Amino acid sequence: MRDEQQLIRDASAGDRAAFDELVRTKRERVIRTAFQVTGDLDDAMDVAQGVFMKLWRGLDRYDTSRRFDTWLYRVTVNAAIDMIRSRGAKGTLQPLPDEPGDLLAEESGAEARLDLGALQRAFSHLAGQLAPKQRTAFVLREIEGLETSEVARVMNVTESTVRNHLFQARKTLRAGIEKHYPGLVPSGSSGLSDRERDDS
Amino acid sequence: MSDDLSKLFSQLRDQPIPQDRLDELTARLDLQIAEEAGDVGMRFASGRFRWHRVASIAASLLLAALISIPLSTYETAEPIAMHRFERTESFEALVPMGAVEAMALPEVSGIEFISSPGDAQTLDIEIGDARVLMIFDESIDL
Repeated sequence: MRDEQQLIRDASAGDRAAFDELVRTKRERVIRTAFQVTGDLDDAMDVAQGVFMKLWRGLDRYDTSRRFDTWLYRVTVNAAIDMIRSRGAKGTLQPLPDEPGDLLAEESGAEARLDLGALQRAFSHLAGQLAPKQRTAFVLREIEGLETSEVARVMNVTESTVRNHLFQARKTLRAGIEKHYPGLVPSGSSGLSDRERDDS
Repeated sequence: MSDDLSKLFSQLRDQPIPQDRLDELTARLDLQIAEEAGDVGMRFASGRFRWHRVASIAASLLLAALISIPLSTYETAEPIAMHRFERTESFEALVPMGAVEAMALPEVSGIEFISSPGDAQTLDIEIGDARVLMIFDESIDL
């Protein structure tokens, strides 16, 4: 079993098996991130394919002194934002899947499917009101769980810019939840969380 | 359910992507990598590389380069207007043009019209180093 750095080095040298293993390791994260940013699973698949082909073609130019996941997230969100912008210009925003099962694996429990499905639909609906960079910052910070400094590196902006994007995103999402999905968050819980305090 | 926004949406991190979509991605990558590898390598290896297309493009580029040589020479040649002006001066020195009061007429590059007050008309054509002078006069009996 090769560690990630070894996989990257081997894949850079043209080792196809190493590249395939790298894809298997990272594909779910790339698709999920692209999906949360674009709001469409088919678009996310296209983004992921583009990201991994870029990886395959450009691995020899990847700077191994930099963190691989940062680079991967950056390529992914940039491609996803480009996808949103090109799609928006055409005015062909695609609706999200209605059924929770469309996104969840078969082995998931019924209760988990119901909760996560409802939550996903709520997020997809409300996140459509966010600017692409606000949505990206929120996805990286809250869903992917990156630190603010890491989000800043991925998005190639300052930490204060990330905090501003997060503030705006949370404000919009909170208002949307209270208006459209009051059942998702118990009343009286609109105070700042620990993470939000860290970012404010 | 989480009691705050961050914890609420962080649950989406646990949402799995269906295995068939993961497999689909791998299959699409396999296909695209094979296609790209086949585009050049397979054509060379199998002898299906379209040499005639490459030769055609190369011939077109060569032709364009050959055409551009005289064109670039022409573009850097002595300005036509200045050349004609000098020739016209020497022409006037040789011919008693006092009898022919030239009138200003629009000039077309390399072609000069000189109109006389009488019936005679002179057409002076200059192309490169060649010059043609034509005089039209009904009174001249050849």
